[in-house]
Amino acid sequence: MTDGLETGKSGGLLGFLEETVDAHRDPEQQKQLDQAKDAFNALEKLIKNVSLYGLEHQSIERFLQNTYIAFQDAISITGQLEIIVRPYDLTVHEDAVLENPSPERNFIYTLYLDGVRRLCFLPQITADELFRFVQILLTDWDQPGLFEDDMVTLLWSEHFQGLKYSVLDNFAEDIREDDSNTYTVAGVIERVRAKGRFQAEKPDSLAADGASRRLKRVNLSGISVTDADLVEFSEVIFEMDSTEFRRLQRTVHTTAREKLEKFIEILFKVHLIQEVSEEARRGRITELFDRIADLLLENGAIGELERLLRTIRRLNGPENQVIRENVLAIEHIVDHWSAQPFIDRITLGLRQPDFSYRPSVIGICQLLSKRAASHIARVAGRIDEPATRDLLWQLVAEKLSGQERPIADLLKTANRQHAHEIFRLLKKAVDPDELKYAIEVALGNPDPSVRLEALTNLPASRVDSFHTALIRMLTDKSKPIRSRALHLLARCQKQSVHERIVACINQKNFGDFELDEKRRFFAAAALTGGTPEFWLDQFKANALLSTKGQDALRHCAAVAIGIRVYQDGLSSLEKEVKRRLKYPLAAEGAAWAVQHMQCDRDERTRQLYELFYHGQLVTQTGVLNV
Amino acid sequence: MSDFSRDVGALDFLTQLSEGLDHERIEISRKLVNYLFVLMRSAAMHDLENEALNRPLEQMSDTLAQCFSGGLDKVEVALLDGNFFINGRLLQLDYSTFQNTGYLRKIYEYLDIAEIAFSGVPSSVDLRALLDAFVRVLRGDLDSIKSVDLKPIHVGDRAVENFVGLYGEGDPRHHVLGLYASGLLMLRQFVNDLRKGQTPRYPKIKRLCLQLIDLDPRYHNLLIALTHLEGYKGNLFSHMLNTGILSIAFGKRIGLNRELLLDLGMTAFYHDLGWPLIGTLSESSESLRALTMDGINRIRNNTDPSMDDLRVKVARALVRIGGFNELVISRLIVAYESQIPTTFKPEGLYYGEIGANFMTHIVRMASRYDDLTTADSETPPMRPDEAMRVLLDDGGKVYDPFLATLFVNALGSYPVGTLVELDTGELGLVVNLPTDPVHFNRPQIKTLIDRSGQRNQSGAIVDLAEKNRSGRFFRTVERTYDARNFGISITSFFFGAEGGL
Repeated sequence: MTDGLETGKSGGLLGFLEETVDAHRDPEQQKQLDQAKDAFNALEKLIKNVSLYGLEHQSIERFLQNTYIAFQDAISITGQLEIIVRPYDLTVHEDAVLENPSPERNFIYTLYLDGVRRLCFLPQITADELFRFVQILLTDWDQPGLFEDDMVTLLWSEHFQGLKYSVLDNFAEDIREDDSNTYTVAGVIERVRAKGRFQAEKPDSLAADGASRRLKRVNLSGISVTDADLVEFSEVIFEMDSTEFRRLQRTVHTTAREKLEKFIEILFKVHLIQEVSEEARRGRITELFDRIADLLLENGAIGELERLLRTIRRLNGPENQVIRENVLAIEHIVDHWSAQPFIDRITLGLRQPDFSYRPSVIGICQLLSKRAASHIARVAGRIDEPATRDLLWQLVAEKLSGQERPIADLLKTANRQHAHEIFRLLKKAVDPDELKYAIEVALGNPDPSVRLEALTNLPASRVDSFHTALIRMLTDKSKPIRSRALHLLARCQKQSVHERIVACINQKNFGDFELDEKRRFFAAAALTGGTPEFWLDQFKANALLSTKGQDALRHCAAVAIGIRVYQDGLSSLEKEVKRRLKYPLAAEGAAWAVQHMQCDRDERTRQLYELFYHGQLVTQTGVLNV
Repeated sequence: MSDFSRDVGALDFLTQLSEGLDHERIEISRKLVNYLFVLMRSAAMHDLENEALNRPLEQMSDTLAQCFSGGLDKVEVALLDGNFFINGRLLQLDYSTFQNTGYLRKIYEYLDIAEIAFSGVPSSVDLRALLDAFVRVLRGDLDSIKSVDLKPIHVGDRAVENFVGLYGEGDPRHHVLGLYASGLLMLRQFVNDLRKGQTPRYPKIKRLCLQLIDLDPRYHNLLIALTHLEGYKGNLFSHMLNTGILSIAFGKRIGLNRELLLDLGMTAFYHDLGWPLIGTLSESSESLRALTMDGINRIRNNTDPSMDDLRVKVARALVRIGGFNELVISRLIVAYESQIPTTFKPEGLYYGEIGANFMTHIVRMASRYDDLTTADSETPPMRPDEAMRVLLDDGGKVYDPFLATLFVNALGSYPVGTLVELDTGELGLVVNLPTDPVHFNRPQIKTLIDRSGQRNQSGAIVDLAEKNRSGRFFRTVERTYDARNFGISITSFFFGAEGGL
């Protein structure tokens, strides 16, 4: 150690480096200091909590209230709480009330660096102001939007009533060592205060001043305003009349509304010239407009987004002059926005009952390309409110041409109502093939009601072209679907269809079906082909000793004989009806078949309808009663 | 807010370049402060011949050599208001320097110095001499280190450029002049940084704007007077400031709120800011290199108004500054709309039927006023009232007629700094805005020559809107003169001539 340091006036280097000032404070100041320490303790807790849980967390309110009360207590002692900002701490009456050891992301240091030297909390500060102040302290300076902000500009923008601050502006940085005196504060001041140079009158000076003068040119160099003059300077209030004021208001308002449109057009042009390749340009433009849309949507400015889209649509080029690059770029943007993510995002609010931007959302959807149709249709399925649903379906209908398949694809997962609306829309499509595609897609839907909807929409006249799908539906898990498929297949008189139905009848699980359904299968099989003898053989089998299941099959076989109006089987049927020891189902089927064979064609048709639709055996006189 | 910074686009490399250089500079600055502290601490702890000093001495020399190898001819470690500045640049602290700077600050305060400057790479002997002086002060053998000649090291007070004492306490001119002077230098630095591809201090510009907005309206006349400061007038940075001042003064007069004023002020600062950036990209034009309004206007006025290449170029340059950011929308629009020949109306700039932004009209009027009152290579400057007359007589050819009338009404058809002859035979200089907007041609003047034609050293301030009992005005402006011919410098008239205070 250097010996001299022990005895020097410094009292040792480390000593003076660590030296602290024991400031003298009066009791009131001491009380305020203690209170301020409490307040900043509370503030620290609040800050910690906000940092951990975010601004919205429920606990924040409690911490804020505690902090606010503590600050008010500290303020009340002297009527204000003055904080001095130093690089590493905040002090009250020369004692640190808040320290932060970390120089990085340290708001005390940032405050100091930005020139804030004094903060003064006044009694009128509100909890809200205090909270906004905390938010400033916690600013994430990496946000690009804050590129021209610092603590001072943020404090200024909050317009605090209960928090005043003093700022030291240090302009030393703006001078470089290579600058001459001209570009120093002293240099500027020198020039400001340089006296004017009197120019003595020349013989032709009258003409130079543009008019004859009574005055002789006098040297006024060196005259300046006096202290008394300075006192007389007062604010001059400028008053407009009401017409001028309204006009100014209108001017400001109009230009504010056009701001976004202009901005977009400018950026559009900037980006069009910026990229060399078409692909790069497209990428750049969509990226940019996505971000604009993001910003607007984040701020809930859907109306502005609608304006934006209308503006984009207009950017083809100057009047009567279409610029190809512009058109391509516009198409690209619109097409890009006609995809599912964008549509899902803008339509999100439509599900809320009191959503006020409905017209704008509809307007935006209207401006999108046809590619948007299926996505709009998907959204329509999620909306409960009928009027909005109708509007969306109307839009889909307008954009339908060429979009039938993507819309039909929605049937894979649609619910019953949605499927119903999709079919209603698609039925208007002229191409029946598109409907076939839609039906086939819908038949794959896990919801039986949708599959049924699909079968309901299957045109009876085109059953032939659907028989493969219909046969597949015979093994559907849902009875109504199997029944509807049977009814449709019954019109299809083809041996192959007949054989598939019979094959179903012969399957093991057929026995599990209810009687009315079994009957439908037999009826459909009878109507599609095969020989009537087949049914007679079935009817006669097990006639002496039938199980319950066999009885049901004989019942169905009897019905099939009846449907085929097979006169050769009439005796067997009558015999069954008259048997003393009856098998009730077989007897019932036989009785129905006998009367059915005696009916005219119309009545037989009616009875078949009842059989297929209602699962009942009816006669001319009503329900069959054996 | 989403991340829009990527929109800086194809010019990203310039920012990166600047960031790289900045990073290197910051690192060296930190090392310098660290090693200086370590050196002084070691000197205080050990005998100067102790080996323990060898390494700190080496480190200090090496770091200084590194500084000088970068082309510097002087390295200053200055303490200003508690902050260290290395060659005028604020030292950015990190973990490694945070504590040490605090200690070094205490050493500076203890020694009562504000600066240690090196005018060349010091030898070990030079550094030991510094340390010796330091230790002697610590021991109490020496009163002040400042009294020792330590060349090539200079230890002492920083030549602080302040003008404390120039004006009395509470004199508003102190603040106004400080604001203008620093604003001027700041904008100059800002423009230069942009031209060099370095990242400027954006918040400083915003703060300048806020200070102008917050200036006591009583002293707007002082600020407007400074827009006539010769020597800088005609340079882009001066034009930016003057346009900003006039726009803000007008905006405040017509009652725009703080947010709109900020937008307007920043818009005025930025309206021609694309030019230095275009200069960065292609330093082809001699006049552009000088970045004078004369040069800029010459290019702008010779551009086919139907071509928007220039506008797009400027806009593109500004996009580089702000990226896509909702805060800079107005600036971009006004800058875009302003890139047309000075005497053209801002119309047909967009595909649709959209006219110019109202801020464009204000900024263009303020800008034109500043241009007209500036001498260029071909024409002498107009008098303030002549420049205002150009705007008033425009009749909608260039500016929105309503806003032009309002502009002239608000700032006066005889703006601050106009030398007027009255019907009483008196001569006076306009010192303040008209009190009555209906009589915008009746400003407040300070009489300089009395009715008898005698120079009046302490003439009163009179309001030309004042009437006598019969309702007639006491005084009316008859004609105006060029104040310079009478030896009046508008700025020294308001701020006191050298040696005059």
